Amino acid sequence: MKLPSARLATSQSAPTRTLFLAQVRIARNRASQLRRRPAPLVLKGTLVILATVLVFGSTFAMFAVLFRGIALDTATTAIAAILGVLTASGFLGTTSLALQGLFLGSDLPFLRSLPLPLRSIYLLKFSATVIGTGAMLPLWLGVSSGVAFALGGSWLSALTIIAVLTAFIVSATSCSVIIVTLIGRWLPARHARVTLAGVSLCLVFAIAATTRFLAPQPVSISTPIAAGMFINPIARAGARLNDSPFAWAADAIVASATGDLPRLLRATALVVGGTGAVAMLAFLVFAAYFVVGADRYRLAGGPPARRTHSSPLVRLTRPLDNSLAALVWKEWLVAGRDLRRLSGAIWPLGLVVFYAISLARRGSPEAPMAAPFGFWLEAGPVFLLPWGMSLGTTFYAFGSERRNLHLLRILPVTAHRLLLGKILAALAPILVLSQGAVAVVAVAKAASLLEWLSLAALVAWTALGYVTIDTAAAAVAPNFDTDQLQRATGLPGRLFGLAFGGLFTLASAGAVAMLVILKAGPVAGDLPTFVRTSPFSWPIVLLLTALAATTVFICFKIGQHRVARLLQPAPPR
Amino acid sequence: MIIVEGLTKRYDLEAVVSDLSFTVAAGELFVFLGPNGAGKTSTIKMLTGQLAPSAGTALVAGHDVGRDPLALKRVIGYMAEAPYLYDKLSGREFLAFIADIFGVTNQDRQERTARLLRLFDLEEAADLIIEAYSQGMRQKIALASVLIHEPKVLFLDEPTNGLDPRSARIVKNVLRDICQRGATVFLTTHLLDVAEQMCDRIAILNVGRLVAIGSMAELRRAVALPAATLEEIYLHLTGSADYGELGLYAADRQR
Repeated sequence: MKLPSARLATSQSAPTRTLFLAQVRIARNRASQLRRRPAPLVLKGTLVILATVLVFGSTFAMFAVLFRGIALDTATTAIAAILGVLTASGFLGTTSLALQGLFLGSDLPFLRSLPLPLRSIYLLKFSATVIGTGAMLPLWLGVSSGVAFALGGSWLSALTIIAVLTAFIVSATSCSVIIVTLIGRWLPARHARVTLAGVSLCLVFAIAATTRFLAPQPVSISTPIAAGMFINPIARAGARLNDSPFAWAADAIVASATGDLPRLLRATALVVGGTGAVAMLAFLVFAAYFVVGADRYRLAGGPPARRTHSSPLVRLTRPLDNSLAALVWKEWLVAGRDLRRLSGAIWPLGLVVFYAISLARRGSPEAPMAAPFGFWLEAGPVFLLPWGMSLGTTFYAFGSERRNLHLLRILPVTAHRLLLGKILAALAPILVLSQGAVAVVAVAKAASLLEWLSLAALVAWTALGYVTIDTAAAAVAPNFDTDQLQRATGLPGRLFGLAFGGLFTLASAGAVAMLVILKAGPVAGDLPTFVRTSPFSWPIVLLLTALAATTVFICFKIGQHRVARLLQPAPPR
Repeated sequence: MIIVEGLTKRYDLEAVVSDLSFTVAAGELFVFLGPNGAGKTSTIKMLTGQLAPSAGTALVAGHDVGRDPLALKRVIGYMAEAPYLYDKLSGREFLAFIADIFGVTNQDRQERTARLLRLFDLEEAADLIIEAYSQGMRQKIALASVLIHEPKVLFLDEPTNGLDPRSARIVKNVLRDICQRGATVFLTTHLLDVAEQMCDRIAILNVGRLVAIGSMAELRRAVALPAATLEEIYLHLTGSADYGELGLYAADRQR
């Protein structure tokens, strides 16, 4: 005879199972649609496998070498620090995924209209968020497995690593759910977006500060290379994390590698128990505040009862012709009112602010390095800021169009114009913000006018380059079916952006570095003679500049070709 | 204004539209009827350059739909059954966006926007974001957006969906007015009384094939039912004339 509780459990789990089965069927149907076009599927699969193997393999090898012969205590605290940094840096990504899935999902109204317990909806969305963080997994696995291998790991290590990392991902997602739900609960109806931006920036600062707190101090390159040169500073930072979940996880990994079973059981129990407690708390908070939070987030996305004021933004686009201007201001207005896109932008934006302040504070104009390269060594990294911003805003340019791709298809818009409109729309705010960062850094470093102008020109150039590359990347593999903004560009697009962005960075940085050295002339006495005196120095500068420009041009052309494909009528089969 | 010759659309090996041939004159209000899945939307998508035909040709306002899609799009307006709208723009902003894309001058844009908002009774809601609109308001703003550049040919897929009787009446009057000014309207609807009242000619599609085309009088002659309504002609031609089957549900419930 079945117990009543067993029957109850079965009947209560049925809606959840039905929901998950529906998701499985949707995924299966999508896959069967993709199978009709085998070439892109094979290419995508190959890229995914290659990227996973590359990330896992390189981190595994690096950490296996770094941790060889390291004392167990040092290894434990070092792993704790590394896990802390990885968790902190991945945390905001998880938070925006949780916000987009649990509160802004387009299927939420439908799901809420069905006779489903809140628990079922929560489990579905929570799982989708956990799966969304999967991109970080090869990195985490590579680090943990490399360390375990270096310490003599066994099959027990593999099991422990899987358990610990699963627990970490669940914990991080649970923390994100708690934060997102609590923000939604107390989000004021008026000034909701400003409040959200403020809270998000505070979060970014807190996380960036944590990461910096855990990061090792820079190692002087004059120090002879010795065992533990890289690990010891990390371990010193990790010692601050004693009795935290990071320390328990590190303890479990090390204990599994050394076969210390009692220590392994104790540490694993702490990690799993802590995860269970956080997961339960997350659900309780969600269940208590979901309804009010969902309504407040909906209002924050665009106040339906409030009149819109778009004219100042529209006026800014007047120098452009009407149709190009329309594409630009449409993008600004839609992105500014779409909480999904805003939540994707807040992380890189916060980092930019943090980075600019950090650069401005680091060192001083009177430092010995001030002449002749001091300014460029300290302020030069500002040229990477547009890349950070572009990754958070431009990268979703096409996937975020979702169903409105069909509207663009029926409008008389060429691929060239649409791509240009997207680039200009993304470029303008990035240019303004990055030039603001340049000004802060230049003033803080007491830069000369020439240095300021040079840095401003460099940042303008990189902003144009990164935005063009990332917009093209967004056109290479757009995903129009996802609620999660981070998944609006598929892996081929991400790899495209990374490869061309990396090439552009190397070429631009190389050209600028050589220019600075050449301009310094004889005072650059410590530098290799060939850089200053070689007859090829100037041609190399020109070659690198041409390479950077060609990279941008090629990306624009590829992007234009891909957009033309997107706008084309569906081909006959 | 629209010349279609042997237009065919196949998905894999299955034809959803087979060998369509017909013409629609300038200033004509042409209604395309057919059961669900008959191929109406696929035909409209081919005529508006959104779907490549598997065979056949189509000229719309003098433009070959397969050859010069951009020139075609400049002179037509298309409203989908579920309209495509930027939900985060206000109604007025959306009209401005469409007008600017079509190259309507600023002065014309302002004048037409005001006129269309007044016509569709959307003046009060014009500055609210579209996300807050009801289904009927969404339908009306979509219709206003396809009229703002004064297209030569208008393709409308179920334009009266979700409209209240008053709004539906406005739409009918607007469409008549457009035709009187010389533009062509090509529309699909399931509201047969609307089609009967408004149209100049009707085409009936069944399982991807054109089974009848002509004015009401011509259709009556074709089915040899001199006093038939459009509904009777439609059911006769699409194989649903056995009215007994329509009573099956009631009979089933009584059982």
